[in-house]
Amino acid sequence: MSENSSKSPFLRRTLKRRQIDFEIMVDWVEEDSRVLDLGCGRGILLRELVDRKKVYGVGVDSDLRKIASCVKRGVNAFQEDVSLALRRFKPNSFDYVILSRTLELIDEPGRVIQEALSVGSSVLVGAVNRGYWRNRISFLLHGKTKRNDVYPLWWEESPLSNHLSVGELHAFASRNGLEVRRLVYLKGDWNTVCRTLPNWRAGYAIFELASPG
Amino acid sequence: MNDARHVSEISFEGEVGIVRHHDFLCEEEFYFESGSVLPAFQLRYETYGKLNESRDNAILICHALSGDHHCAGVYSLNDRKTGWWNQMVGPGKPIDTNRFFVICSNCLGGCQGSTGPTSIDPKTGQAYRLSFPLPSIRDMVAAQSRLIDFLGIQKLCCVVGGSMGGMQALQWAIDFPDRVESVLALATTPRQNNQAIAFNAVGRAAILQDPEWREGQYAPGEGPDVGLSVARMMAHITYLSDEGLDKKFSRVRRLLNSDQTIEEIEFEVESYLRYQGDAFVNRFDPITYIYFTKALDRFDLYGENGILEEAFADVTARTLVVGFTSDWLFPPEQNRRIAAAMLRAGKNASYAEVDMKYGHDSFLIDSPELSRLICNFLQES
Repeated sequence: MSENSSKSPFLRRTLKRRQIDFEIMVDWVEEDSRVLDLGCGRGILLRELVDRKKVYGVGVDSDLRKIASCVKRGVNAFQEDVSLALRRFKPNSFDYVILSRTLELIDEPGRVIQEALSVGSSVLVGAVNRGYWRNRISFLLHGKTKRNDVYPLWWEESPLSNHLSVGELHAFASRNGLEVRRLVYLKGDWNTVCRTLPNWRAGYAIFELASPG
Repeated sequence: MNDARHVSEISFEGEVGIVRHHDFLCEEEFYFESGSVLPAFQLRYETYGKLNESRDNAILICHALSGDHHCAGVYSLNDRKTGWWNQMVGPGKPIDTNRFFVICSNCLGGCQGSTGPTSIDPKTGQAYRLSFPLPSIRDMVAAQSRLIDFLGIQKLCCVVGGSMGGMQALQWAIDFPDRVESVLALATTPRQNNQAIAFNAVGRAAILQDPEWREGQYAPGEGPDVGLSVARMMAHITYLSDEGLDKKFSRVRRLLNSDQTIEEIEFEVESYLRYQGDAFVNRFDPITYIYFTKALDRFDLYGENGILEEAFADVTARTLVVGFTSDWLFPPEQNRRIAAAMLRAGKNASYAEVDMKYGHDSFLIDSPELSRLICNFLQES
């Protein structure tokens, strides 16, 4: 996980942040299981999973530069939009489908989660909590979304994005009768575990969702 | 940043320089998939770089329909035309001859030095012509495997190929799972769609309907030149793209004189195609063209059950499939299907798509994205 560690301070901070949520997912995934990572980026998480949990891993990303990095890491990577790639796999092909910071960037994320729950036994979701108190206060006081390490771009430079909060994820799960098997909230530092008032206090959340029964 | 320091960080790219071809004569019988037999055969090939002591640094490059064994370097100092993949193969280049021993052979059934329809049949003392057995992609690979035996190589660290060469690379991984460490298949397909078959059919029709075809019994120095040239001109269009052609010619016209006839060349693109057609006639045999397009048409990895992943059941090679956005002959989707089927079969495979505007032939053109991908893939070897 030390890619480009000396080059960009932003990337360095981000990767450091990402270590904890990646660490939790690596911890959750069983050894020798099969993992599909939708929005796999540069394949850092998959590489960890292959090295430490001996998984059979497949990554999907729509960006050639990310795929090229995966290839360099020796991680299987498939270049396509995640919702299209998902349909290439048969039901129950994977033990886990990972959507780590992917939901906010895809069309119809609810449908993708449902389809992922058919292709995989469970879905691991990692998402930034837009309901985090600093975000709320910033909007309340300034009427503007905060620009920070997590969202470094001005609105006019950033891709279409679904804003979701921890509360909305829970509501989605209960509307669709999905089981939340495991759940970890991280505070605004994305590092320390957050135990109370997560929809206010959590900066990041990791869910394991499964179909009931 | 200081310039000198900057330069030292870039690995220096060199050329393979002057090369010459070799001929491998296999004196054992060769059985085609069809059951036909050749008493012996020859493959013409070139190599670049050095085979290491453990003989495990060999890469085999498979050429496309109209390609040959000359993929890098020049034949003399005055030779202005380098091999067809010169920017990809050489010291410090993506297929790095400082690291790898690179082999490229002309296919069985070809017309550039390997045994094919123009070779002499020892039984009759005459050229085989149409009595030469029709090779399949699998036959081409089986013949190459004899060459690899002869070179004393047990396992290839990569088999690389674009288009028809990509089909061969996949066939290598399927037929010789113990002998292929990795596969790099570019702009290829698990089977041609109707469009590609249709274009090949028109190419063959142009040759077969040329009055000079004479059932393949044309005299030396004669033959269906017009038909072959038309076939090549049309096929060449399918290797390019609308945008690529526009970029190259932008509707440029030659000078019009008042008495110009409709038979004369008017647009630059016409002149280019005519040149391509004429040049092809000088180096390619019509029967090989018919045979190779047939081999392409009949290649089908979907098998009897129509399930692509079944073809890959025994594959052990890690694979990178590369498609090109503007390729409408073997479109990205056909390339994606290869990698997706391998992944469904639980194999190690990746699919990458390079956004180049030159159509099917994009894989032959220098691009930093493609070079990086290939470097990254071979780095794992």
